[in-house]
Amino acid sequence: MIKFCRIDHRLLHGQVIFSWTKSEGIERIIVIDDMAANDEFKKMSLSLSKPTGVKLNIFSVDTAIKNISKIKKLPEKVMLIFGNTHSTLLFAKEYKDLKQINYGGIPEKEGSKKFSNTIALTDKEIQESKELSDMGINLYMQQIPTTKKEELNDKL
Amino acid sequence: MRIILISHSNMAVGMKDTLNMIVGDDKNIVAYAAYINGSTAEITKVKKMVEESSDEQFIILTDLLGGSVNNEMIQLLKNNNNVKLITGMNLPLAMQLQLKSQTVERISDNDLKSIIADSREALTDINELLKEERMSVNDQIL
Repeated sequence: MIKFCRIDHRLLHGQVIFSWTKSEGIERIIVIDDMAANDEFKKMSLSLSKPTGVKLNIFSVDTAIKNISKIKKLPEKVMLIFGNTHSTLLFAKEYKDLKQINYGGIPEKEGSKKFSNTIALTDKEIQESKELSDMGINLYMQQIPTTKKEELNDKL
Repeated sequence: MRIILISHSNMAVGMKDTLNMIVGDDKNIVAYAAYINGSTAEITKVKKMVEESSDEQFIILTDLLGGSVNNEMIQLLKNNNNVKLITGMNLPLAMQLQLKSQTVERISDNDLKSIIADSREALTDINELLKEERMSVNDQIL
């Protein structure tokens, strides 16, 4: 079952590994990101940082979509981590019943608009987020479990 | 229980700041920068805090074995059996203690032992680790 779903350009890092994994009781992390999945060195470094006892997969968006039926049947508490809104939208359209997405980190880019300290969205990313929102998914910004949760849907 | 981080200058305060970023603020963790401009007030404060709450468990992390911060804290072990003193603090140690302290009233000797062992192991030569670790393909199969 999918317990937690996050967008974070840094993918696996301290806040994810030590805070979210623990608070959500995560047993498997699935990173869905084309850049990471196609970079052997990046994959190796991500696998070094995975928490002990937690399983890790690093998939391209295509591979993840092909494995949706398997992902749905996973007995463990699963965390999905996407590198950006684009991959999230592609996956969400096929997966169909994502309930919530945590916006953890999307860096500032040329022409992007700041929504919080760690979330800045370009017009394209806002559009993609609106599409996610239109699918009935709750979008919220929150860095770690103990910090404030901020709804994003109505701010887009 | 309370966790006290104390060091020569700002290491402990920086450690606390980093903990806030990664695992969140926790009022049961306090940090002190000792000896800045010769100040010994922080040392006195910690001693007083521990002596005033003899029922509470304190875990004190210091920077360096043989350093004067740790030498001062050792004095507390004479009369206070509510104190655990660990020196050579690192972030994995502080982080695990913070997370553990949120789930228990008191950290047991056994838990402390295993947390220290883990934190020691966390000191890692990544170049060496990469040599050993070819991407574990097994993990790639759902």
